[in-house]
Amino acid sequence: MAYNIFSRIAFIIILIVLCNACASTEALHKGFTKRKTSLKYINDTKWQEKTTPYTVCVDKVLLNDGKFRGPGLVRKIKSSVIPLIIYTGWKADHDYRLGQDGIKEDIGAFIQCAMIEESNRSGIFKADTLQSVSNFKLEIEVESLGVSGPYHQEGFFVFLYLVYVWSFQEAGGQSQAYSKFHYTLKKDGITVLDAYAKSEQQSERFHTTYPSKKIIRSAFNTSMVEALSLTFKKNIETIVKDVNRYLLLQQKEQMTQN
Amino acid sequence: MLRRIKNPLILLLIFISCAPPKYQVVNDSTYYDTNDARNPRKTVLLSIKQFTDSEDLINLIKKRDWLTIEKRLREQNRPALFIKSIRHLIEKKYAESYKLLNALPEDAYACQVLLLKIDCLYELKSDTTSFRNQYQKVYDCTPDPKVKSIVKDHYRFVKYGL
Repeated sequence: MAYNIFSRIAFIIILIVLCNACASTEALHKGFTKRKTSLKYINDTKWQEKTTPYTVCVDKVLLNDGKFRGPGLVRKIKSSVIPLIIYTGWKADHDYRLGQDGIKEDIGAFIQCAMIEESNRSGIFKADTLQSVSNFKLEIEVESLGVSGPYHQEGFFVFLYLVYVWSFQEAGGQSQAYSKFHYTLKKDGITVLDAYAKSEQQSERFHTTYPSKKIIRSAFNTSMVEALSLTFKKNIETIVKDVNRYLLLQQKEQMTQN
Repeated sequence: MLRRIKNPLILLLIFISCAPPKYQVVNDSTYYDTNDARNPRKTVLLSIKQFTDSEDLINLIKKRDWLTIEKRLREQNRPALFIKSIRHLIEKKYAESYKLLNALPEDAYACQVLLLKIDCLYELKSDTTSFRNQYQKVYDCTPDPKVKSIVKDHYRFVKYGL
């Protein structure tokens, strides 16, 4: 009786462990995107006094990189299984490319909001979404963006009749995030500033010290979203500095003309 | 039946009680040594300016010697609410900690009172507040660059859902 129960338990454990070893790319993708992460970050620039009278209308942000609109992609790079009776070992390397599925906000709407918030913080001008209050209009297009990183799974199961030992671990990262914005500032419909802002950011590395596989997969996705949002932050700060510089010159010109 | 589950239950209770606390207390000199990526914990700063004996207090907190801490603060006639609220945070009694913090001005201890109140609301699963906006408020409130960095770290716990 006891032998029967033991062999059933052992069989179930072997089955669970083997299922773990053969996790499909779909299962991994589901694990990564189960908990969507917010792009929001803490602004750390200094508050600026609004020394110019200008208001800039921040237009809806266009996303030109079509690749990112999809759900993201998990690709198996290489995998190996050693299926012996007393020893089963496995290893798998994946590559995960983040898509909209892992992110809480709509990217265009988020960048527009973040741009207005940053402008009202470190800009020497006011920012708004209404064109009617301003003759300056800022248009931003996301030319390219992306984050991808490696995900590693490894484990073994040793079965010695009455004794069995198993171990598995997963590790993710470091991921590389990048984004490139094209921005134009228009005054009464005429382009007065036309430039690019681009930045890169590396994410953290995650390993199995986190309590569970579920948490580490979700944390891996979060680290990627976090890295991407930091590239947005840097680009937005660059744009605000550039607009500040232009508007300051504009103000000086107007003052000398008067 | 009870006999069968008794031992695993005891083991589980031991495991839960040995789980590391979510909070660590540092002072200005130990702040840079305590960021361990493998075991992320929320940091509270006991500034040397406000707690001249912060090193002793931190050692007592590490030993969970709350009686000595309370005795020391009482003898020296020093305010104990902040330290008591930290005790509750370490013991994961977030509602009690929130009550104590509510009695302090939000900008006290370089705005860490407000920071810890937001932490409590997060732990108590309050969905009536935008945590990012609240942490941003603390970031803008505090003049201390170390606390600014601590605020960013605490917000990361929200992002990671830890």
